Amino acid sequence: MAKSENVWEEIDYCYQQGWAADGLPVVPPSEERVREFVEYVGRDPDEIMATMEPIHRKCSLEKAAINAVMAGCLPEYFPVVLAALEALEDNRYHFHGSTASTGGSAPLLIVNGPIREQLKMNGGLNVFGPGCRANATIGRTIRLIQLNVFGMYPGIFDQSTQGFSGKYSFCIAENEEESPWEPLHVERGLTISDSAVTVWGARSSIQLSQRGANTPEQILLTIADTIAHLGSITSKGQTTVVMGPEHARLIANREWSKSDVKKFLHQHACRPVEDLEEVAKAYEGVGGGGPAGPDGYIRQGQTWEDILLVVAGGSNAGVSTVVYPWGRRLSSAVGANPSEGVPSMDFVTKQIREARGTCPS
Amino acid sequence: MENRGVPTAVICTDAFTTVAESMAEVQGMPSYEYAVIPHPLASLTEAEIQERAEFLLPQITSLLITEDSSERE
Repeated sequence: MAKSENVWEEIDYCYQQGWAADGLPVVPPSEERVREFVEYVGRDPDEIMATMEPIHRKCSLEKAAINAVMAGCLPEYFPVVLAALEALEDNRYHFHGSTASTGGSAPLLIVNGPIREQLKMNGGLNVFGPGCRANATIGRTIRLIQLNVFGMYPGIFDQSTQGFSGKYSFCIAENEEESPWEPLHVERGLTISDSAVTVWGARSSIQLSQRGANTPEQILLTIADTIAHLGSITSKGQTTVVMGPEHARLIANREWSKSDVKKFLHQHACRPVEDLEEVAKAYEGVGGGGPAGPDGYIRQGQTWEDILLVVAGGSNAGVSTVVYPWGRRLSSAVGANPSEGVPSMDFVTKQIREARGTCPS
Repeated sequence: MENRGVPTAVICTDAFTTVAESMAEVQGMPSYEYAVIPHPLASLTEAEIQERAEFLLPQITSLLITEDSSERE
């Protein structure tokens, strides 16, 4: 706990203890503030929220609260953090492997439902950029937990060759209000009145520009080409497409459904196997793109359902983002124990439980 | 695997020795011995892989045959 009444000394004390492990200042975690977070959700502080079996470490609800305080969260944000941890703990998410890997990944968090409004989360303009406390601090909490609780420090257990800026924080809301399609959490089995977070291991992202297109095909071929570049294409890799509302509306106005979009992208996000053979990437395994399908093409993802489609961003330009996968989804490994070394990664959606306590602020 | 009594030889390129030693410590075997080869590995030609294998053979033989897991902790 912080020792001084002087705020600058308290912040510096946190640095000295190594708690500001992402390099940015943290909010000193007083016992009183941490207790407020625990009481807000009304759950057992000793409840285990996430584990990394290979290094024998666990994250209790109280430790999660300490890091949420340090990251700058408000107590109201804490249920989102806990749901995200439940998703990371799910066997379909390879939590330790993706955090340790040279691939330098970060969990992408996508929040849906009424809680977005309650927390004033951003799913609109500058959705991946700065400016929203909830987006920034919920995402940062997950990284601080990876560092402080699990000890996944760069150069030791985190062997990211380069990493990317999403490793500071990578949390967005879906722009449900400007999306022409059903929200992600409804597509994944929840109801419109539920709130949920979807988590997936991302390698990095690219923001693409397609401002002059006036047909779905023109937009989607641009996105498919961005998905299928030589540096990333892998036949077992999933993809998240964060489509700007302008693109989404133009496509939906031509009566294309979400599944129509995904099927088109899966069909066209491909390259002839010769392209990958030319650059020594046609093999199956880490860094490889193979195997090729019977038609001689390497296609991103095994089925069109390996594409996650959400709508976010502002309605002021033809811009969308492709988020690349950290790992591969091995269908036989779904439900397998990640601690046994099965390197599989899949989209995981968890409902955000309602808080039982009251908010002090 | 060592803890389950299976003789094991870990091979690590020299880029990963820090994480290898940290993991050995977490697993309760801080002085666990393992074979080290120069990094990188993934981009080597078949002939270079063969060289690495020949370089490794005595180390692996030694790790597998001459010691048991309790002596290597």
